[in-house]
Amino acid sequence: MMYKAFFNGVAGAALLALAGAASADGDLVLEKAWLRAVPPVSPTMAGYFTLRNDGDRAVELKGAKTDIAGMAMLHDTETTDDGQARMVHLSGITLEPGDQATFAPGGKHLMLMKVAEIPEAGEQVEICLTFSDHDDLCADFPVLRDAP
Amino acid sequence: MGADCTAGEGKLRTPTVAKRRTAPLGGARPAGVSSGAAVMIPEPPMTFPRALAGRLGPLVLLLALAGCAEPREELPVNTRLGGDFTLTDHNGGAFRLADQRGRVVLMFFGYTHCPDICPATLARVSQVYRNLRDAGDADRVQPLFITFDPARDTPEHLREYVPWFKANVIGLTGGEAEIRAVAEQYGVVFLKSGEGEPEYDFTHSDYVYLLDQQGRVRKLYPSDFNIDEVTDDVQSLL
Ligand SMILES: [Cu+2]
Ligand SMILES: [Cu+2]
Repeated sequence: MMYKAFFNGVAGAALLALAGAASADGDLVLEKAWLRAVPPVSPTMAGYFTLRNDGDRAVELKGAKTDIAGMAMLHDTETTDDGQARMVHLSGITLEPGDQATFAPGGKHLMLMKVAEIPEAGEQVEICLTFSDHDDLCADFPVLRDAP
Repeated sequence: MGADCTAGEGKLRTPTVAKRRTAPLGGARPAGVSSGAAVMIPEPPMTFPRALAGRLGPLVLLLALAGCAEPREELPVNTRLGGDFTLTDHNGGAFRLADQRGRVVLMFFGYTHCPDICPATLARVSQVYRNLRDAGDADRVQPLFITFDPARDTPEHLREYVPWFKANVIGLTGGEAEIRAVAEQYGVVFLKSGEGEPEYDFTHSDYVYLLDQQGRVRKLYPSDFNIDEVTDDVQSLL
């Protein structure tokens, strides 16, 4: 299924900036979406969101895509007991009905690599989450300096 | 003083600081995962830093000494960590820590290609700095960012990177051996993942170091530290 389910919500830009983008595709609800603003010379950015499965069947989140990045992946930052942080690639996250995945600083994040031009704080970037068995879910991620 | 010492700052901390991640970052961590937590299927990590395991013994001991002081009690001096060093600052000049005598230093190791923890930590350190600046203490506080990725984090690159944080941060780089030596002085462990690949990154410790006006280590913080706690601690050393 190649068609994209665009759903940028009814909230105005101001509200989006405050609350993070909210997007829904009937069964999937994407909330608290934002990208961390980084200096313009950075080659990478991290994005965060929560994704809830309100449907009645399991879905598997596989990755993401966006025009601004050459590559987008699901990552986790693991911190060991010794205080070592490292990033690992997640190949997919299965959400059973009622499950929620939380991507937040210091943990799971959307990793955007090969970002040609780093967007500034205040801008919005469209990012589509991709699934193995579901249409893409697209939303505008506001670029913020700090967690909303 | 409202310093929260429970999040990984236990008095005689056990080697584990994993619980610190429960502290909300900026108070904005989305409220808990709803019932029936998401089923995560992590792939094996890109690399397993097995080599680290052997080196952590001493570090763990050192961290045990970097405990949390009681409110208003003097922060203990950590005699096991620290020391003077010379690196290259983001303007290409020699930077010697000893030249910071008279300033309280907040020091953090990281690399600019890291999108999650490093910029978040630098942003938090910068907020501490701005709080102190608003209190009139800017001249007596110096934030430092030491890269362990000198191949990519050249002085030129750091010069474009650190000013963005608007906190007078000095970016420091140097030769690989020099940086490794400084990391060892401070018990910082880092390991390159994906060696040889264009998109390598690092497994690394992410503590923030508080150094007093004599350059002595007084406290270590997890990267998601409480901004008010650090601000208070810095002020107690001024
Ligand atoms: Cu990542
Ligand atoms: Cu990092």
